[in-house]
Amino acid sequence: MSTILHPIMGFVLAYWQQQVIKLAAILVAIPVGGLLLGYVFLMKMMAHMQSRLGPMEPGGFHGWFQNIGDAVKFIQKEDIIPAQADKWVFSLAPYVVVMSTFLLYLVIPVGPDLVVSNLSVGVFYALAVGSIGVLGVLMAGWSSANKYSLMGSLRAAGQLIAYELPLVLAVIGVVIQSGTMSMQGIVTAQQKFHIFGLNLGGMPFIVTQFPLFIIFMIAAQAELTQPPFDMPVAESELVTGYMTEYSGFRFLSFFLGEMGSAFALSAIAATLFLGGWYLPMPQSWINNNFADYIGPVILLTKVMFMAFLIFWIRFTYPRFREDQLQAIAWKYLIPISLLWIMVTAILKVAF
Amino acid sequence: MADLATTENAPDAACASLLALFRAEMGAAVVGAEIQRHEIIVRVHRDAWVEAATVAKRKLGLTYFCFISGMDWLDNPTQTSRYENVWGSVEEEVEGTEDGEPTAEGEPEAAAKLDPAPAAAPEAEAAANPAPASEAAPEPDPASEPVGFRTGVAGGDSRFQVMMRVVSPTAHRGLTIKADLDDTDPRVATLSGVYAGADWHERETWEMFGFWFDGHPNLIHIYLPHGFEGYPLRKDFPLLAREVKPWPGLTNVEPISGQAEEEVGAT
Amino acid sequence: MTSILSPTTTAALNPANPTELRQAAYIAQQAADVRVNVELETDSGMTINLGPQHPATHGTLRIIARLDGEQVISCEPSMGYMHRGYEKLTEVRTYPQITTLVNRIDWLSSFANEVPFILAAEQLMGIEAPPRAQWLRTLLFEMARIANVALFLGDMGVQLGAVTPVFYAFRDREHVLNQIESATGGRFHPNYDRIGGLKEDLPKGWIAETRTVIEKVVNFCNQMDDLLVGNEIFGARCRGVGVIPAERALDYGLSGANARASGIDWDLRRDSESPLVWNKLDWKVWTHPDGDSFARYWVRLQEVRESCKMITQLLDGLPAGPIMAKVPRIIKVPAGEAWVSTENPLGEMGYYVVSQGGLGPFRVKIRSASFNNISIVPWVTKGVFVPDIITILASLYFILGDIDR
Repeated sequence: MSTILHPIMGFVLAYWQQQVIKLAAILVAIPVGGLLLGYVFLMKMMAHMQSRLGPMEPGGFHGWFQNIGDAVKFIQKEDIIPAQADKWVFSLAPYVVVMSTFLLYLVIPVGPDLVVSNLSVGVFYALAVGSIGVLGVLMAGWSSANKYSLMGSLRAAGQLIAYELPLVLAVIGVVIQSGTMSMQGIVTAQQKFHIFGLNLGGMPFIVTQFPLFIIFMIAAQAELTQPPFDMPVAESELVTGYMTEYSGFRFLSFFLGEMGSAFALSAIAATLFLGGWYLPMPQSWINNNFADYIGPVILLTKVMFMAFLIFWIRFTYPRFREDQLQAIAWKYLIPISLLWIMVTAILKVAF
Repeated sequence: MADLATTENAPDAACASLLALFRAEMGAAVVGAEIQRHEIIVRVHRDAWVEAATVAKRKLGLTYFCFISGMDWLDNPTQTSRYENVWGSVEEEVEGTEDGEPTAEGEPEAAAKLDPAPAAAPEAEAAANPAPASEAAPEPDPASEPVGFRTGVAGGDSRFQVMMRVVSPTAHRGLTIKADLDDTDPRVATLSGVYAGADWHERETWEMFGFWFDGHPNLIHIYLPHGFEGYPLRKDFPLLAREVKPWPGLTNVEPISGQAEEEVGAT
Repeated sequence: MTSILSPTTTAALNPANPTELRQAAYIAQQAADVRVNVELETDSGMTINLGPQHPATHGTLRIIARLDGEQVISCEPSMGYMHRGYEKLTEVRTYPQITTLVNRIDWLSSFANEVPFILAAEQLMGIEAPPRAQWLRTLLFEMARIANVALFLGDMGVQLGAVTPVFYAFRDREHVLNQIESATGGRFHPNYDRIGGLKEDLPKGWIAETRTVIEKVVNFCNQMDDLLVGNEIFGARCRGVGVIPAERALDYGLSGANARASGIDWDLRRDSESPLVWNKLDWKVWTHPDGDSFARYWVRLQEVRESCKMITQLLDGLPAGPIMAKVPRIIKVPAGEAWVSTENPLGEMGYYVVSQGGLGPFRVKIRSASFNNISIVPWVTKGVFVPDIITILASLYFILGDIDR
């Protein structure tokens, strides 16, 4: 971090200055990422896919201001807490969800030097903090004093726990292949990885881990509680489930958490399977920090592509039933991922 | 079950054979019967109500349950069926003077005079000009009906009638069964054991007409709130809007003489 | 639900002040509803209210479901939130006024509601509309069917969680509504039927426009075929869910596509002596042997296609001539009884009209399809999961106005 700012600012930042910049970057990245996805996919792409206009007026160009206007609207709305609700738990639940999203961003590398914290167990950490969100969902559902919310949160708990497993197993293949759990290390491994002697300056792991990539995307879809796995918030059954009683900024927090998680999980998928910020590029670009400038752009492109897949499926499919969802996780996703892990391990040892 | 499948060309024959079968099964319980176009309307004794339904379903193959409802033949002076023309004048007749033709319009008014219960509508006193008899068809059976009631097709001799309709989905012929109920204690056995769909219809009929269906598993309100008093579809149930402002509302339109005979040409 | 005049609420209050009583009763009712929502019984299952305000009931139907986990122990619809008392109101209106009322029964296919009533009145009066009027009635009847069932085809998707089909449905239904509007003047409630014929003739260019609209509807059907019928998740959610055997369906009086999806080959358009011209057209009655939610969806999809075929033929063969028979200026219907039912989009809709010869009917029994169709819900939802309630309700397809009348 300090090295890339050096040529611009002319001095090396102190440790606390770096931390402040990192914190600010994260605090900006999540709302911006969430708003970006919300705008591009939830509004514009969905509107076009569903053959309707969507908001076109605010801001001039294709209603770009609509999302910001929505956010302002949510902030100024009354914050209603039901009379029978458990006040503290009810108030805190959305922030737990958002916090889990914030923590996810810490380990995603966007350039050779651009990572908030290059943990050696980055993947493990990401998956662990990702499941904190379940806690927030459970808190929200229980404290709302609403049967729909309760059922929604219980469904969410069952679903998120069931799909945590295929998510982890899908990552294991990549970890075995790269030999590290550090996210930055996985990107580096993909710079050097090649098969059949085709050295094209690195190869993404999707080439060898395609089944696990599919499983990861399915599990991510379920983790995000998006159709076809949106039973916890099924509006035609449970009237948006655990979010039923929320309003104003707290509701916005849930929304932000959902969109932010979609962004973060797309970024993790892009890092694990598509090479992250790396494209085949000269080693000198990495050495002279040029990759730090184009890395975020490359990653953002990949993230948008992954998010497009997620949202495309979201707008196309109906939702499963709760038992069918569990059956898919336990009967298909987990055995297939275990099988592929085995294949990966054998190949790793053989080559 | 009768062979009713080849009835596309001779509908009335099919109805007649169906009615004959029904009569044969039910015997003396059939009080009245009539075939109108392709519709069979029979009236059975109320004690044979369930038996009639069972026969219709099991023997005649009328497995499709259409509806159960009720009729209240009491005359109500606020009804538009009493009105002769749009300007609110009710034809007034001295009771008992059915000179020459028992027109379709004449009798309800006479009935209203005899009827002690409902309050006469304002129009009943106000209006005087009897409109000329229209081209109404003669009614089904004027002779058999009691004073104060019109009894409809297949007759009737009490204020309340319960009616049901069942259809054969293969022969496409329907049967409407009516039964007269007691005036003070309208009560009949439930059909929910024969046709499962009768459950809700009987609840509706109970709350709208106050007919009690003995043996019904769950005779509670279906549309109206719990604790609602009165039976709205009975003719003596007041319709508040008509009490406040009698039909047709706008009364300052001058009648045109000889309106009834005028006919609009086809375009 | 507390009665407005129940003794518990009125004890401590001033009985002379009805407003106060009503307020107290209202508050007590609200409190009772809150309690219903909070208490979580576990020994005998949990009671959950789907409705009266719930996205899946599209209207004010309330489903009281007792659950054991996610499984339904019992499920009882409770309606009447929209009961408008049409059977009573018909008794104080003239025949031409009643079409305005019955328009509102099944508000998605209003024109189809008028037709059986008008036919019943015509049958009693012994007049028959000229051929052109009958053809136009059939034509608009089928367009009303498309306007109604097309919405179902999309709505079923949104009930199962797929948002897109419902937008396609609204988009293409819009064209049909435009055509209905340009012919009748009323978008939702045409009130176009008259005793003895129709209000007025078609506007210029209507036939050509309708042909293009029908192409769009056919295209929409193909889209639904791809989006939902061919979708594995849709199949998994619908196949085998809410199976209604044929004899059960008849027992409960299920009609229309719901009955045909149970394998009952019965369509009033083909099988009754209607003055409308369905018998002169070349079309097919589709049935499905399964009787599950998927079958009901599939049958309705085919019916929209058949309607499109019918409309094309009707447009081709539309006879010239008057659209109004000779009728008296003042409609007085002779005494008598008539039952006329037609195959409406939701099922058999019939009117039992009793006339005593005046300006209005003595009594009209309105037999609406949804009332019977929904009456099977307690039976068919026993033991299913909560999401299946939604699937079953959506596939049985009701309109609240058609249940409550």
